[in-house]
Amino acid sequence: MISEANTAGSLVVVGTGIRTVGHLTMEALAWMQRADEIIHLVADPVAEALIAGLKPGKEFTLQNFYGEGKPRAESYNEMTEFILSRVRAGVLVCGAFYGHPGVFAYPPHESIRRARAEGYAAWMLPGISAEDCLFADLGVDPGTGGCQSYEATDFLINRRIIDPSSHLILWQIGVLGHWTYRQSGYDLRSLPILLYKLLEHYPPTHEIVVYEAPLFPGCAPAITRIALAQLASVPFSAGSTLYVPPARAANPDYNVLPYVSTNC
Amino acid sequence: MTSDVKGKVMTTKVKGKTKATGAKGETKATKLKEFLSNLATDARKLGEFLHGPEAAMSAANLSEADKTALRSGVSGMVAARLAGMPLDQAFQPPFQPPHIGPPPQPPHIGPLPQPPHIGPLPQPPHIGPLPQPPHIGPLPQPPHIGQPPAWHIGQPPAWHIGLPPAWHIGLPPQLPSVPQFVVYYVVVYYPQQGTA
Repeated sequence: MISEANTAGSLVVVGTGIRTVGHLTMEALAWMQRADEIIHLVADPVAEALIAGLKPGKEFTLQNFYGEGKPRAESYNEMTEFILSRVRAGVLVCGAFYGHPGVFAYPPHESIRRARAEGYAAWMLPGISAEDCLFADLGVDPGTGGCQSYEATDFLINRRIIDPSSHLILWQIGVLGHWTYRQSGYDLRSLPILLYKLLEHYPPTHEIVVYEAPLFPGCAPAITRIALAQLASVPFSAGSTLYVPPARAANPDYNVLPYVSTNC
Repeated sequence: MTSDVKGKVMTTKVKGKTKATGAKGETKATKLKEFLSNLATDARKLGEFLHGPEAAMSAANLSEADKTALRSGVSGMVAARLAGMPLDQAFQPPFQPPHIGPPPQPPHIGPLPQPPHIGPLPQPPHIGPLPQPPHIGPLPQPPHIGQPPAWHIGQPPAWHIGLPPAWHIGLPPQLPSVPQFVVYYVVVYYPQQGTA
């Protein structure tokens, strides 16, 4: 892959994790050092300083493709086009994105897809996402009962089917109902509708968790436990994730059960 | 502090579109940034910090304000120090969760978006009792932690492998009466006056 990457432009996309200190993998770091240029969308000054130290003068931020009131989709397309322009220029580009670069991240996936379609080598390395942090901090095992994970607005506007015996994670609850970027914050007027939807499946007293992963070493996660009915009265940040634990036990299918091996 | 998505708050404010960010001038927070970015790239230094944070911070000549922010364990305070904010301005009391004790009040749900008025009169919005939750009474069962649920492996319930359960193949169940929109005309007969 390295030799292929050296012949013409190529792209490797890495994640810096939610907490750069500790989440940045050795492999990601190695590719950042190996690359000719780093194009990044990172979320804290530590990651930015780290990247600036690795490639002084050869690192570019995508942050400024965001604009007040500008649709995020438009920003993402511009980011993708910028990344591809550098690949086409014949350099080994390392795209560094916070969290997992392939989780809730359109530009990395689209950049890789288009780069490959144009004949360039392009690949992605995994990173640590907010959901991974949530599993660790809240002691949630998605393998126990299954886990449904949705972007909050997507969940709100589409007829997603909830299984109340599974874990439910709603991402980006703090930007619910918004497709545009707002530096000044987001109004959450559609939050009561989300609450109404959840109340169709969960009791109002069901305990839910508003979660935010810690960004720095030694810092604690923000974990706020509330009753579901209080959802609309809690402040959120753009980094808040909503976790809804199972409300009931699973419902076994007794027609299938006899055919499942029990020799374990 | 700006915000984006993916479960993380964006704390960067870089000016100049897609310009290299490495050329920025030194700020008050440079030392703290360097300290933390060194921890991110050097496992040995991170180990030293985790096992002896005071010694590691002192060795890096961090300011007392930076040390206090790191000691606080509050991400917001560290982020504020990284932005060069004084410690007294950086401190924000942690969010107090609402009191969970008395039964929660039903949320004030405003009118939902109304569909266009087609057909018979729409039902009034659900005012009054909340939608019935799935579990009224016993507490919600916890997820399967440790012991699996009591699946009747030994004595399964009556599985109808051969014949399906009694399906009503005969007459369909009686549907509830649908709303009737029948106009009843009442013919009133008025006998003509003057005839006898």
